[in-house]
Amino acid sequence: MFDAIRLHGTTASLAWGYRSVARLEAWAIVRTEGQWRLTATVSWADRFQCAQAVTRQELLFTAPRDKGQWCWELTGVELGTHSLQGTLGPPLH
Amino acid sequence: MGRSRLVKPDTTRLPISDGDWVVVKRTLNYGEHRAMWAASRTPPVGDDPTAGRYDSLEAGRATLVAYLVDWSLSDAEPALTIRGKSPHEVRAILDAIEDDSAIEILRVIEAHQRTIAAERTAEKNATPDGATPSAATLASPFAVTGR
Repeated sequence: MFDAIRLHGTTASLAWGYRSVARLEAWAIVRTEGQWRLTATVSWADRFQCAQAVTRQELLFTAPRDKGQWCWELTGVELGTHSLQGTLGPPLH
Repeated sequence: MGRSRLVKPDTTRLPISDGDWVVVKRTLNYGEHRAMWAASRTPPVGDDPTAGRYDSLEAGRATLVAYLVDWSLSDAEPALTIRGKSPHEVRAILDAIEDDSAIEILRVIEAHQRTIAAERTAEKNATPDGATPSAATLASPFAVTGR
């Protein structure tokens, strides 16, 4: 098994149900010691809805990839002015 | 303690003809309503004096754009994918489908709106300790002042 995995991209979003609540630009996901962590730059975010969604454990990170998309549930998120750090659950699909 | 007035992003799948379906927002929040009403007005073009007025033709499309989240129409025609698309893109896709299909979907959404409204009314009426109903008529000022 890999000790560490790193994924990255240039476009992604955070979603609460059908609603897009944040747009991300450069993003990276690193898995270390069994924990998935997200860092990204934020181009736009609805902070209120992000907070509501993560409180309800309904905030999803989605990013396009070949033949589909990456998708994780965010279990925690810290939103700065233009940056984001988050912890992720296991990838959903 | 009162009820939560936060509109969660829930959806409902509704059948349409020929085995197709649409996924629509269960209910719109205030921001989504404002966007829908704003899109229901005649777009400003030059010095058109009717610009900004309520336009029933625009209103139908605005309702479709406001409520539609996904549909099966893209199964047969991938170019008709609407999931994740911007309102501007969804408007363009709607303009490209059959007229009677757009009207059928609009009628299904309007029926959905009536269903949700009826559910809300039933919930209000079923709440035993809900808000105190307003008086049917204003109280007489004479009763207040004692005159």
